[in-house]
Amino acid sequence: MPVMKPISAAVQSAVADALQELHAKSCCDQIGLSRESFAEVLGDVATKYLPAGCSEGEARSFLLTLRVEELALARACAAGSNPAWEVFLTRYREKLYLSALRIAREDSAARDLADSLYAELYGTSTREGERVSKLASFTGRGSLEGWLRTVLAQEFVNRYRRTKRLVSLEEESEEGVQLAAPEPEPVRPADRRLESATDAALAGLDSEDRMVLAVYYLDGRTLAEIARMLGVHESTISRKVDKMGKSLRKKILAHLTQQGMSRRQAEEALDVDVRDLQVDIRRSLAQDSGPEAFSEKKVQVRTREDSG
Amino acid sequence: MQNVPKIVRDRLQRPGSMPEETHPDADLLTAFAERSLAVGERDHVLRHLAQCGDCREIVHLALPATEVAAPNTFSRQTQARWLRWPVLRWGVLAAGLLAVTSIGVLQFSRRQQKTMVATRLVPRDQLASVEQSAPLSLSTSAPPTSSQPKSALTLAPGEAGKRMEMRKKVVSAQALSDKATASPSVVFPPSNQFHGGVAGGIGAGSSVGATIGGPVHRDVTPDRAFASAPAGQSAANAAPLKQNPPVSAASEVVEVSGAVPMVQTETAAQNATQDQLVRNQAAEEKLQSSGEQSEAVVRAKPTLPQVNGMAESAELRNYADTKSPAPRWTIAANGALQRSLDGGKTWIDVNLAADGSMSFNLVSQSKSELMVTKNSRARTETKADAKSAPAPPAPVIFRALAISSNAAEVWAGGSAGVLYHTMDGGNLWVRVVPSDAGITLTGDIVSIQFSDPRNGTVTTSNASAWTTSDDGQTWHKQQ
Repeated sequence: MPVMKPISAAVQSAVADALQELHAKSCCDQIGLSRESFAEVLGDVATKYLPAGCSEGEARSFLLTLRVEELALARACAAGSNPAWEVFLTRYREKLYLSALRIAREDSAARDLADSLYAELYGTSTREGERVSKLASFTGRGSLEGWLRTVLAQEFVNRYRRTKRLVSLEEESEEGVQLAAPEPEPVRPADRRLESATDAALAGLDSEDRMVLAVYYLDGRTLAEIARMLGVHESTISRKVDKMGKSLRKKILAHLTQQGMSRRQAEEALDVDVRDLQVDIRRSLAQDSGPEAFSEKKVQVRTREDSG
Repeated sequence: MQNVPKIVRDRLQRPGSMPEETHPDADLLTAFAERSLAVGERDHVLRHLAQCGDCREIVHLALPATEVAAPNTFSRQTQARWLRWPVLRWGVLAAGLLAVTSIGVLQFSRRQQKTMVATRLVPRDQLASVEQSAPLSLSTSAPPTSSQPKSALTLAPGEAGKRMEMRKKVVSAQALSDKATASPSVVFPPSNQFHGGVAGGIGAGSSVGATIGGPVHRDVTPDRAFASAPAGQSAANAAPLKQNPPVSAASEVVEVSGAVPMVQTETAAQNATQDQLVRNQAAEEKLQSSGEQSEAVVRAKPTLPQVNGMAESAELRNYADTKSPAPRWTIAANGALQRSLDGGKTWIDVNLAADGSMSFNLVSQSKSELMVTKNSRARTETKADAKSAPAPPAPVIFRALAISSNAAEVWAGGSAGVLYHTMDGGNLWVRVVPSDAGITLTGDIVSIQFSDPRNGTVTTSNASAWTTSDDGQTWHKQQ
């Protein structure tokens, strides 16, 4: 159980101040959540996201940004309120399945995904004798519908990663031999100066630009998809990517020349063998097994590398 | 598209120098996608997303249904494979060239026709005499189709010599109305004082009071996306004009809530060209009215210097034509809002704070105060008007823009909380003053972001964020 930070006096005061207004907006009474429980939820959410020394005004402003009606509904469902569940099912049941279908793109996988999440939302698992519902972790920062889609996506990504490893094991069993890992593509070690110049150029980008680069060049998303992710127009992303492509090259060349290379040497170092380009893109698109963070269950899978 | 060197891709993949971070929880990722994070939090999430492919994948998968286009997350290459077939590739190219050529020829011929019609419009003094002797009656039935331009106008007998002139005027007005049905416009119910299409206040040099009442509704095309740009950057719309579903004039109106406002138009001495345009507007009003909603259409023309004479007028009228290039928008270095109707070749200041020899204010008592500013042409004022006209307000310094994908809907914000909104490509602007619980937005607007036509955020220089979820009708101050 995560340790909750103590609620500061400023947060308590802000909750008390905004409670009437937020309570009215949340329609708690209709879904079986008491005013006191709702106040406690608000305090927990504010404490989770606000810094320890925040002022009452900041806390109040933060509380006013929350989707209190959906927050109350989710927490009432987590507490087992039947009226809340009726409302939840009416509003979100169909959307849950439709979202799962859109994410999984296949009916049976979508149903499986939605059903497993539905079970987690309802709280089929228990902790210390108490039913634990995933809805208890909803904090109202975004919409409940969006949160449900995000949780579905998290579960899907987790399953996809696990499935990839499992498929590899199955292939190994069928073959009956130990499949050796493919020989890594021969990689020409990059000039250290080139690496540092590139790092310096990338460090000069703001976080959004860097993300756009990663999504476009590493994930292979289209400009329209990136625009939707960031909530901007596609032409904005197009200009951004084009501009960054030109400016990064210039910055890297500038850094290299500052480090003592001639202009020609810098350009040669930068314009690496184009024949490597396709191969490296495929390799770079393959996801590394990164840190686990989404699912509470830890799946121990022996990967091909481990069994080697 | 400029490609980046391979080393950049390699280094992008490298884990950051920041200590291992926990992934943002589902709430933060959701709030990020819905643009409801504070600036600091958003930056933190962006830094993480720049390094974590899984979280980027999740954000992409979690987008709402209408916003996810690609069926396969890893199939940018797969989708493009069919284009590798040489025959298809060349076929697509040829079809595209043919389409562009056809559109260009059609556009050119239409402009030629309009230029010819405009040069034959009746001068003001002649038209006044025509009105007195031959009152017009225009039908207020369903919007006429392009096959019935002439039946919309009935003249009293004995006016044969002047009938031809009036018919040409109506044809040009009809041509405008045909094209206007595809673009949104501000619609007000007609006043009894507007009658005959050309009589009434606008052309006659007198002031007219028009009563506007009743709610009108806006039907927003849901698939319009917005681009926002800070000051100093060009906000030109590079995307091709989207073919929005055709919208009838009866369903495209702007919602004005609150008390019934009064609209007064004051006229001044005008040149003949402006008079013709105004009469065309008035005739268009009647032609566009339907049986259920017989409403007059008021389309204001921006205050623009004449560029290439009639060609500029033709450009403005032709904007309603969906085949015309979409307008482009930008903010100049001096903070002026600029529009280009020729694909960026020429830029013209859009003077939203221009003095109004033809200006009117429409103020309603609502959470969002709306002021409609008519963008009037710059022209010589008479001395009488100069004395009575109010002192011109200081020009607005714009700093932020948000533009829809078809460039018809634009939000422009700038100094001292000035926020303007247009839905018809800049012909008619509405001044929006966000207010929430008695507090109004007063700081300099530095950012406007709309994820869809309804949901947007305006950020000011004092770090306060104002959000709307109903396309600016109501606002909520975030911080």
